Amino acid sequence: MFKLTRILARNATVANLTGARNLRPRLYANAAALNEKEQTLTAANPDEPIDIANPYKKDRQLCILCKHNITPHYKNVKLLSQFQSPYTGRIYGRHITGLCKRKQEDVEKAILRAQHCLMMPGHHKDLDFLHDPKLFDPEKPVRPHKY
Amino acid sequence: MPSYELALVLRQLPRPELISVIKRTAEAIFDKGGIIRKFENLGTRALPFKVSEHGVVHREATHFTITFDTAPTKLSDLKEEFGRDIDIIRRYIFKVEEPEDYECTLHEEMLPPAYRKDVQELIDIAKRKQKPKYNYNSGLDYYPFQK
Amino acid sequence: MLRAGCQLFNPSTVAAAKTGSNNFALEFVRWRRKPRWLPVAKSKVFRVPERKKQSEEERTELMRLHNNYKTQLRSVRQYLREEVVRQQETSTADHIVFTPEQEEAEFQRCLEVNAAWNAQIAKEREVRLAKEREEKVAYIQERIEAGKLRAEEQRERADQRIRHEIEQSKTFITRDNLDAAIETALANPVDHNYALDLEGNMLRGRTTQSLTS
Repeated sequence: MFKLTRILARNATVANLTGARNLRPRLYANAAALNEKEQTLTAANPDEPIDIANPYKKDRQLCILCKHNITPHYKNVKLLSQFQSPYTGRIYGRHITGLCKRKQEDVEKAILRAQHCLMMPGHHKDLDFLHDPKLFDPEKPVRPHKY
Repeated sequence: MPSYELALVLRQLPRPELISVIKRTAEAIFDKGGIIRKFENLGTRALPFKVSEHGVVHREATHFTITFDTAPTKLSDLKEEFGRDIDIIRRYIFKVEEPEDYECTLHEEMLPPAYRKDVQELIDIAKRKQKPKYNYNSGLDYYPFQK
Repeated sequence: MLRAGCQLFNPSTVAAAKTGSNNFALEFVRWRRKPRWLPVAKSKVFRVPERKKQSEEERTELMRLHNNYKTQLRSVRQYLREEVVRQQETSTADHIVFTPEQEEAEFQRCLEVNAAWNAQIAKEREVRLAKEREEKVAYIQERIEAGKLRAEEQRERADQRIRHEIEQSKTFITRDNLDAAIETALANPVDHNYALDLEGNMLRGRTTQSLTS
């Protein structure tokens, strides 16, 4: 019981902290603008709910390739092999790479092209690229694995 | 005439012969009424796996691309001609694609299932396939149709 | 179940069943019948069913009764039919009876009303058709303008493309500079490789391991 309350309290404080940074300016700005409007229009009934944009709306997510405006190309084997398993050479799925549908498709197509053109191995990762930066963690997929 | 990219994988050869191979392919494109825009040498490197082509096992090769314009009807002739060349291990012709405007859809894909458009469409289809069902709380104390 | 039926199907129990003392057994007697799809039993193939003879008296009597019945019913039917016809001719229950002059006047009045309606609808139609015509003219005009604009844009784009290609054609490789182009290409290998990290930094080069090196 004590543990539970402590966790709740911690979550609440975290939410407050993160919320405070993002939300306060927006909220205040809206409130100020609406206050003026209200005084002119609906001064009769100040208890009516005010119409504001959702202050908890999240920012739009972008996948890493869309964010940096990168189109995968079959000659760029180093980038393509970042989406390949170092153990089996298989292409990681969308639930692991965190790409949008279109970019994942492009990556898969480019990898197949590169493999056909003998630029990229299919059953392992090229040894030159083993220490490239990691873009995602296969152990922590965005959605659960199928198996 | 659309632009194409010819990705060649050439056998390991001394430089004069390499030049003659490339010249041969370029001449073939010229003979078919094509225009060559660019040559690109992607380097000589060990292949990711051994490849047996024209009765010889290859372990090293030169990657070379030629960007050219030609009529789409000539492509099969060109492929056939390059396929007969024993110095060419692989030849692939890809269309050079213009980059098109694309909006990242990751945000929509990460929504909970009930808010995703494709899931909503699936639900609609399922609803359309359901038979009309008698509403049991319609005030009648019997089932009005034949069972 | 079947076995129970077999046991029950001996003459003595069937006789008992037919008295209606046991419903259970009755059902089984029915169930034990030969199914419809089995052929006629061999012992019954050549059996000719006996046909009861009718005596002459009986036949004539039945014929007389039959004829009587038919005749009576026919007369009743005819009577009813005639009655309906008579009713229709004489009754004025469902319509108003006019003299020929009145009928003519009524017809003329109907014609006038019809003509008035037609005139009114024609007026409305004229207005509507005129409006539709105007709209159609405006629509076609608009489409023509849009088409012209589109064609202009397309020509502009094509011109731009052609200018760009002409500009590009200076760098095209021809038979004359083929050797030189191949030499320069072989002398300058191109490397398109780069890796990405989470901050969006690009590690250019195939064997580059970190940004500093």
